[in-house]
Amino acid sequence: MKIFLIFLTFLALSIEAKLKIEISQGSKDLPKIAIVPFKSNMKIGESISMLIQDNLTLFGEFKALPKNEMLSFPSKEENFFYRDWNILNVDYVVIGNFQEENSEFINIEYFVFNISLNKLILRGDVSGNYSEKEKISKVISNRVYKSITGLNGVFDTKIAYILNPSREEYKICISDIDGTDEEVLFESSAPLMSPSWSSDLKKLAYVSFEKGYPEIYMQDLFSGKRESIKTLGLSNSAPVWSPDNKKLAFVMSSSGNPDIYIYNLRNKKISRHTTHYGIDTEPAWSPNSKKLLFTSNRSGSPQIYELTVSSNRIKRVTLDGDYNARASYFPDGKDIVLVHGNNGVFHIGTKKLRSRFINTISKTTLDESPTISPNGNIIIYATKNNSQGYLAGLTLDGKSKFTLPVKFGSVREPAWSPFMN
Amino acid sequence: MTNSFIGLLNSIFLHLLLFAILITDFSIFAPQQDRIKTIPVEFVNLPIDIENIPKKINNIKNELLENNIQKKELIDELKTIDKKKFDFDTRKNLEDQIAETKFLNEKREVQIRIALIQERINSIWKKPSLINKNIQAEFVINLAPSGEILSFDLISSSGEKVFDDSALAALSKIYFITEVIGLERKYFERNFRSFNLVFKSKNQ
Repeated sequence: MKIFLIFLTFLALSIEAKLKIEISQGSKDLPKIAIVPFKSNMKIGESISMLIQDNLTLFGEFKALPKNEMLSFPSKEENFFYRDWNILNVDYVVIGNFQEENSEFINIEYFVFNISLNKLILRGDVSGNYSEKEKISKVISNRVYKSITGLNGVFDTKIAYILNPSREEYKICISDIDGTDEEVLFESSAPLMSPSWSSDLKKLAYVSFEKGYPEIYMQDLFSGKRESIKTLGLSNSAPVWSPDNKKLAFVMSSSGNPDIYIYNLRNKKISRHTTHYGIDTEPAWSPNSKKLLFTSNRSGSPQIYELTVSSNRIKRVTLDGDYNARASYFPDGKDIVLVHGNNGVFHIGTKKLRSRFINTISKTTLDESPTISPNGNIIIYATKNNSQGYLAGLTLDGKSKFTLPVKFGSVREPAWSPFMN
Repeated sequence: MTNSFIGLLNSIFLHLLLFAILITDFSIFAPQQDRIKTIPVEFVNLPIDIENIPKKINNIKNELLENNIQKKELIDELKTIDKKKFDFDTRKNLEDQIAETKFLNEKREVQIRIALIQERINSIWKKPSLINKNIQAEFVINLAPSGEILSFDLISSSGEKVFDDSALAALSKIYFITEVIGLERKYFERNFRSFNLVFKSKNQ
């Protein structure tokens, strides 16, 4: 009996003891991608592939193989050989050709190969007007990005920001995410603040001091028509459109004390959701439009709280640090990004709602106003260099940090648009 | 008839003999010195103060663990111990400590290999950025003693094709796990002949 028990123990131990090795860090190297010039009878082939390369490397998520290092220039699946790319240590290759091309219309067939797996992972085609090659390249870039990362691409999204070229010159600008096609939506000699996109991408809300006090405006992006929210308070700020596009959360000081209010866009009624004597500000909607994060100094220092809109129940979210502000949810609603400060040094941080720990991810020290890409993978924030404001960004895995093209003037308060479906 | 009777007697005698062997715990077949066969021969012959033996063994074991001294050095040191002065308890104690030391030595050797394997695969694996997803993909790896990867199979998918593919791509770039070369064969067989690799999206 004893021998049998010993045998069973050994058996159990031998079953339990199979070695498991965990791998969780991954390489610091970026995936290497080759965008082969698309085969074309006109010059456009190379320019399309360059545009795709610019898009895919915009946030530093890929390292591109220079054209002069390529050993072959395939344009179709049948003339593609993996060995030509394996030898160059390339991870992914994009090739393409023009099925149709004339001065008005183009049709492009493209392929994406995973070299390590010897596998074609995407085949597709896209067509459009010749003059829309930037737009077409963004469509291809988004599809290529999704086939490689599993995430929706954001290359066709836009960014709104406040530009302050001189002391009494304020502009609300909208540009493509790569900084091109900048348009001025509104300009004023009085300060402008807090741009926020409607989820249908038709309007932008912001705060203007043009009448000498802060007032919230909603401006139609196509007609340019502006509409202010009529409230009883004299100080209104920090408007944020709900993802369901039905409400606008904002901050109002009706008796000198800022509190969180919600403006119902359908019936134009206003409801009050915080009543504390402390300052409550900077609301940010949860992805399901049922909760709001906000900053409050009710505990003595600025900290993040979460408000359930239906019940007005409030829960404190941050406990560490003497300054936590400007929080917003990630698309999954489980994590948040915020500005985390200690002893006058401010970093961008992320935090799980259910955990105490704040993970600081930016290296600069005067960071503010983080905005998350709609796919949740990239954060752009405003920072300063010798009092000059500019936009910087990073990927959440920390592998890549970048700055957006420098503007003429200080740039503040970036707001990343939702997906452009 | 007589032959049958003699055969029967032989059979009874043999069975009795076997029974006697069994109840004496096989010791009849074992040479006397093999009763303590787990004590290495190298322990013999040199005089030493018997009271200090357990202490000395402990010191050597600690030294082994602290300074990564190889087992051979331990054995050399133990040669200074005089077998004749051992009593049974001391031998038993020594046996246990040697077994424990061997176990720790194997554990250390394996852990060094694990760290090296982790370092190399981490340097190759281009982990996709799957925001906030806490997922893992598990592979079983079969190795030859030369370190050659004989096969690898996905046994538990992460549910994210991109994630599984990234791990597959990393494994596709490795043909040999050279980190196991030089490992004692029995350690290799026990640990690395077939083992599991778990790719995790997040550090736990």
